[in-house]
Amino acid sequence: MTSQIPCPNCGTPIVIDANLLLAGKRFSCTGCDATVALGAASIPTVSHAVDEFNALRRRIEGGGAR
Amino acid sequence: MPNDDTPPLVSMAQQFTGLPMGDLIGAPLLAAAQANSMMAATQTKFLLDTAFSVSGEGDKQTYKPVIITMELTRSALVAGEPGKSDPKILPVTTTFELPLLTIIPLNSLAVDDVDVSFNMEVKSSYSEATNNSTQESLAAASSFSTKFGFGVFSATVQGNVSYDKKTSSSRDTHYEKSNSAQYTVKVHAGQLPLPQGVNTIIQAFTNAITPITMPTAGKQGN
Repeated sequence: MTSQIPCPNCGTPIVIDANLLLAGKRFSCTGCDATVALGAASIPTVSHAVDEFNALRRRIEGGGAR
Repeated sequence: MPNDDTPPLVSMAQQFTGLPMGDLIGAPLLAAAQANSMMAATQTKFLLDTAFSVSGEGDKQTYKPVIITMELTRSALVAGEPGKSDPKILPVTTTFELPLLTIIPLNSLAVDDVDVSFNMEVKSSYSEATNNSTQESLAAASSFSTKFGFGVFSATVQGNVSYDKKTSSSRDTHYEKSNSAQYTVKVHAGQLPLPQGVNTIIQAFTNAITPITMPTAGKQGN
């Protein structure tokens, strides 16, 4: 469940994983060594989105996309 | 060679003429297209429901991206007190806002490969074998013996004749016709590149990522 965002400090793409972000992990920028993490206030929002995404993927992989 | 009354061999062209090739090829492709359409609709609904908040009703509905807060920690040079301490490099934490859309991997899952395989085999064969054989044998043997007696008259005649004839005839006719067909449809769903429009939206959001809180000197900001 990876995606990329540009580092707000130097613009280098940072590969992040939403599940690991929810687990409190930080992701480092390879360009400037800055780290990004999910703000505590946004954890419920991201958690809900990840749950919905996983449910969607299960429906599609199970052939139940409607 | 087959006789005139033998069944004709199967016409190969006729066997393949009636095949509904349009259905055989078109039906799986149509099903794949419909599956793709359903998956795209499902994923679009997920995107709008999860990554956007809706305001307004009817034609005036407005979708606004759900924004999340991220923390950025980087090293910053903090000035020391003049004449007392040297500048230091300290970790400074700032926050920036990010659309939820940019961290949820939009699974553009779709059928990307459809393999339709149709094999049909028509066999037609005719063979005829005739075998005639005649075998004759003749054997004849005769013997006579006479006996005459005086006073008592007696005569004996003996004869033996044998004739044997064997005739065998066989005819073997073999006619075979068989059809076999195999129809295989393989469908593979994989990850497709995101549509250009979605990429443009995401790029616009990500380009706007900038830290919004700056720390004060010697203090970590939020």
